[in-house]
Amino acid sequence: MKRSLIIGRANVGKTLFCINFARYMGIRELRWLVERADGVTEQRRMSLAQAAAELPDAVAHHTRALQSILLEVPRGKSNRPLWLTDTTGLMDGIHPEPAIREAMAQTLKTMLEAHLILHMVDADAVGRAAAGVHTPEPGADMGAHSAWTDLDAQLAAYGLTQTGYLMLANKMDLPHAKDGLRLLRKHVPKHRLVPVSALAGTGFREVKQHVWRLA
Amino acid sequence: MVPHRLSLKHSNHVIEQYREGQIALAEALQLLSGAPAKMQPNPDGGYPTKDRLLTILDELDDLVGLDQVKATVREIFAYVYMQRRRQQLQLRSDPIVLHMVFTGNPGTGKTTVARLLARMFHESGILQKGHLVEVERADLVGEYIGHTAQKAREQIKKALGGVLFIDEAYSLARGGEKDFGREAIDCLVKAMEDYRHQFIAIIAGYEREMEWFLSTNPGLPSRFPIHLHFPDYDVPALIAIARRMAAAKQYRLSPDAELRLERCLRKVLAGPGRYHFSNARWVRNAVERAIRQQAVRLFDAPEVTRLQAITLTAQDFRWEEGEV
Ligand SMILES: Nc1nc2c(ncn2[C@@H]2O[C@H](COP(=O)(O)OP(=O)(O)OP(=O)(O)O)[C@@H](O)[C@H]2O)c(=O)[nH]1
Ligand SMILES: [Mg+2]
Repeated sequence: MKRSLIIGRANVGKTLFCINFARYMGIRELRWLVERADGVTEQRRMSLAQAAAELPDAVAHHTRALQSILLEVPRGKSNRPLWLTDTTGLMDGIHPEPAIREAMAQTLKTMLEAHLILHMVDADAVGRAAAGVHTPEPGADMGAHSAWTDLDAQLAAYGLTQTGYLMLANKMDLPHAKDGLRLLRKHVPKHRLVPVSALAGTGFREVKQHVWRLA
Repeated sequence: MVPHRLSLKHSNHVIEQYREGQIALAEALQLLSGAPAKMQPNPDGGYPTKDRLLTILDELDDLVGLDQVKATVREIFAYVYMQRRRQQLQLRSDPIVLHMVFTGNPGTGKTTVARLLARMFHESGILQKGHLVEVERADLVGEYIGHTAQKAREQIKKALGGVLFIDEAYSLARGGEKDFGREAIDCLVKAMEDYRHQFIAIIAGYEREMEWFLSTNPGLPSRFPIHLHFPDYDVPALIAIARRMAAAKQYRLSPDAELRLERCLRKVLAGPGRYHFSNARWVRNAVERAIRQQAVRLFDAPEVTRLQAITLTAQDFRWEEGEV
């Protein structure tokens, strides 16, 4: 089955995007298929409200497995299933914890096989970093943690070799995001970049169109 | 979305290095996107070394079945190699014409082999890029006078340095005297003259139709001196293909699944379905469907073991009434 993968650095908003995008697609109860890095899979069911409350918050980089929601993409008379997969946030460097490296290796492996890659970056953090404002988000362990780094540059370069790649500039509802978006466009002039807010739900239409076209 | 097998191996190695803590994540990503660029043209420039050719031929050997095709390809490469050696020794070497005709039913591996050949010719220094441009009638034939030449030239330009693969090529001659398909053929033949050593054309299609096609234009047969026939796969080969396709996606077939698949294949091949049977493509569809069925079957299981997650059982291979 085809898979669309949300990938990006820790705390950029991947999980919240998945939940709210699923809601936007008309899904009322979330059934997550959780694939842990050690190969075990399990199911989790929850209401949207429960998911939004539990999953994205808490401490940074808490997503530790692939968790997928089954979407239905209309194709002619029938629907075609598509996994929307949330991943472990990527962190620069060589992470000291083997278990975390394992989880990120799983994300990389899945990326190679995914049909669609949605690379999410935190536009607000990029704007804030450029303005020299360091107001760490609650839960984030470092202020600059979610800004644009080498890791994103490399992901974007990988994206140029793939047809199903799209960059999402998230947190557009926050004050520094507009500046961040401008900077991002300079960083990646050749990429398609869609501004979204996982929180407010803006930009979802364009993402949906992209996903439909390629699913 | 990994372009080809070699780079898959390469990618797995990179990910392994990251997991082991030997390289940083950004570096791993860089290596992953750099993978396709790793295919440099033959660095020693001159003639291909034997080792290099043998490695490439190994890849061809990995394909299921196709014994005759493999033997012919070996001959071609031995010949290419010898011609290069002779050039080195300042002996007379004949210019090699490598345009080909592929005949066979759908799903018999024609495109796969064409893609491999393109890379092999690239590695042996014959083609500069080694890519494959796959076209069919609609890509070459236009709707008004002059349009066809323009469209055909465009595709040929794209194929320079690689292989132009024309699927169902016979359809170019089917429309009769006034059809623009003829103009596309003329264009192709002219380009084969003009860009003599810059691309290889492969025309492909059903055996009967291709024979007819070559007979419609007396100039054609001599321009396509190499013929490869791709026979239908037999049942054991189709099962082997299913096993491979599943393994490539980290699944395996249980013995009862193989049995059911085999029974179904025998039924299809004994019935009227055999006339338009699409070989490996049929198998691919069956495996992909089984993977979806398995997901549905396991969806409500509270806990799934690794073995369950990778195993496709007979239950997952189901066909509806009238499909078989
Ligand atoms: N204002 C605003 N906040 C957002 C938006 N998207 C996510 N957030 C917040 O950013 C924080 C991180 O969101 P998550 O969805 O957990 O981020 P993640 O990318 O899944 O993080 P990891 O799983 O740890 O990699 C949470 O506090 C979210 O509420 C957005 O569009 N606007
Ligand atoms: Mg998350």
